[in-house]
Amino acid sequence: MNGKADTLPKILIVDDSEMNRCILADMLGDSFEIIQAENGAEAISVLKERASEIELIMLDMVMPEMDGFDVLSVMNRYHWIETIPVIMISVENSPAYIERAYCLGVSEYINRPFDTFTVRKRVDNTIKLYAKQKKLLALVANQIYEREKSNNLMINILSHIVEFRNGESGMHVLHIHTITELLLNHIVHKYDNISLTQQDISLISTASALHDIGKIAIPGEILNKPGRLTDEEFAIMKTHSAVGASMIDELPAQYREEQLVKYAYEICRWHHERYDGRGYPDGLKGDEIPLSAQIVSVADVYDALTSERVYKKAFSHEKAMEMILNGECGTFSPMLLECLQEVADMLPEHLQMSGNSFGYDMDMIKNVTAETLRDNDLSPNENILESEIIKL
Amino acid sequence: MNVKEFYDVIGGDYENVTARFPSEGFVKKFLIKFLSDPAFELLRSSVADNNISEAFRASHTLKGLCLTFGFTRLYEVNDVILEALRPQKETEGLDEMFKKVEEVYDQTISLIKQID
Repeated sequence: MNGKADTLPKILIVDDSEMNRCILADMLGDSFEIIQAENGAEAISVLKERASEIELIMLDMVMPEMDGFDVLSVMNRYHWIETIPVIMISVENSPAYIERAYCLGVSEYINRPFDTFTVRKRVDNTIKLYAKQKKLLALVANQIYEREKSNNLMINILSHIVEFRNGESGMHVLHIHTITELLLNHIVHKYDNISLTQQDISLISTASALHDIGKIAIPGEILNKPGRLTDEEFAIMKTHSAVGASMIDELPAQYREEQLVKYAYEICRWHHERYDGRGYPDGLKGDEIPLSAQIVSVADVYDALTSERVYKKAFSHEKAMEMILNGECGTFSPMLLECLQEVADMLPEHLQMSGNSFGYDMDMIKNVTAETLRDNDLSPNENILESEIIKL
Repeated sequence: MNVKEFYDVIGGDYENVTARFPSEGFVKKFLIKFLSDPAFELLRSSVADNNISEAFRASHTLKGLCLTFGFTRLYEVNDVILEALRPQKETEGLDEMFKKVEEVYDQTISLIKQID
């Protein structure tokens, strides 16, 4: 590919007839890079690989494998329809078809036979409209990113101070953030009944940094005692979760109403609870323990195992997974363990990367921004039929 | 025979077709390409195999191509079989309907071959 083609806007043409694809491609001329797919299934696999590169889709309706409506349903499911405009082209001109296409989010509906001028104009206009919207999205996302970065920086400095006193590495909070975020994203994709927004995921991951703040109230001799703690010392050590929670609870009222603070409270108080009810401070059992605390708890254990401490060497990823799954380091919900196994392969790489960021990446911010736009009916296609999405 | 004469013989709307495409050369290029388009053969084989859904898709594609190229008569005979296939269940008389499509298709093809 030459440098010029690299910068041309990419259009995906989806049609089972090669003739139709070629006519469209020729009509659009050389100001676009054309990608072709000969059925819906092929279109989806192109989108899975390079959705972010594609500026526009020209979609046929009747096709083998997956038809145009199936493609639109999948595009709704993955929210691609919000950022990639679709022009549907068909010989069908009954209002029922056209209405269905618009309800599924197409930007334009062109009937065959079409003329070159109209096709070019509609393609140009649609791309321009979406480009403007993408620019605005990037602008908003950037501003949020900058703001969140400094917020997060403050939280990380605070947790770093706590860790410094514990003799733990400053990486611990970043790692817990990363594992928490990874697990939460996996869980919401896997289970429809767990309805956490991208915003919730972001807040829980941020709040995870505060899980051990209660340790500032633990005497240094106990906190950093090289040998085994006596029963009495251990009892004092264990107060850190309840102490952390009450520190948060004593914040001025206006802070306590913040969702971030609510999550921080849950995490501080209950990240040492056990799924079998034998944890502390409250002996909560099963899903009485908030999901936020359950996740931070397993993230805390995993990172403690795979990190070096004054009293132990670092275990390998494999060994740590084995110990957690065998129940050697506490009991966790079976659902959570299953999810941990499913993201296990990604963990080491993600943890390595977490050292380079503030625990916030741009993709996360973009997701949160897109979600906010959706919630406020600001996305380009808000009239999506629920039934169409549920059908899948 | 040139493109205009071709359209006069098949009873298509030359003015309309050339107005929609960027140029007459463009129309000619794709008329030649139509000779090797598989939609008609797919219609033939799927009608023979009684594969209704495939036959419907083939006929549907053919309809689009007829509209694109302004093949008015082929459009009309194809539309009969297309609407018979649309309910996606077995139906009487497909072979007869197909024969009519074939007849007009063959005429169209032999005329395209005479374009120079």
